[in-house]
Amino acid sequence: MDDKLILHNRLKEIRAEKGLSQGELAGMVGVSRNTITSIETGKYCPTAKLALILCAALDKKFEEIFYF
Amino acid sequence: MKDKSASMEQAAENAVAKTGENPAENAMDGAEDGSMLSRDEILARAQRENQNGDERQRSQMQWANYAGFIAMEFACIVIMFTQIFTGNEFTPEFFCIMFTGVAAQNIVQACVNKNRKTRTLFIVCAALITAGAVAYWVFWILGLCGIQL
Repeated sequence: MDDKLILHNRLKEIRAEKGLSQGELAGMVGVSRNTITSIETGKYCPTAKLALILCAALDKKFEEIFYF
Repeated sequence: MKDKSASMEQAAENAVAKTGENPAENAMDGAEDGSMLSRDEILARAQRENQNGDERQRSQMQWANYAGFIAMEFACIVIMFTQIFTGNEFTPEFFCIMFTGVAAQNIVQACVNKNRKTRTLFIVCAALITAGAVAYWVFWILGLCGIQL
């Protein structure tokens, strides 16, 4: 049984709500578009620092974007 | 685990008793005010910091470097064993490369590792392997100078 603790996110929905493209969000945060794609698809788990920068960029609390 | 959480609770209670302030409440007070930096400042700093690649790209680079190191060590070992089994002339340069790489790895681990038990192990390994690396470098350089030991 896979009992790994995986940090999921609602980045894609929230980004769509705000009307931002992946490239625009990437530009705001200063990361590559691939990084945003990887976070959205769950291929890459951001560090706390990047997660909080994303929260600042999207004007959301951490728990509104990220969850277990 | 229970003991650990109990000791953490005890430590928190002690902190409240000493300072008369609850750190958890203070943290919540801070959260209400939001960040110390404005949103624009955070984003501007993040953009500046990530100019030379973001954290995912740096992580990928670390993995690539690690894979490269392993491949290099593997190649050295294969070449050394090939030389031994085929009876060809043994070249100590490969030992120099291998020992230097592993020594550097162990020195970094010994410096950054904070776990007391494993740190001691890394210090011992780093010392032994560095000694081996230095010995091979000396052996190789003396050989180049025509001095046979």
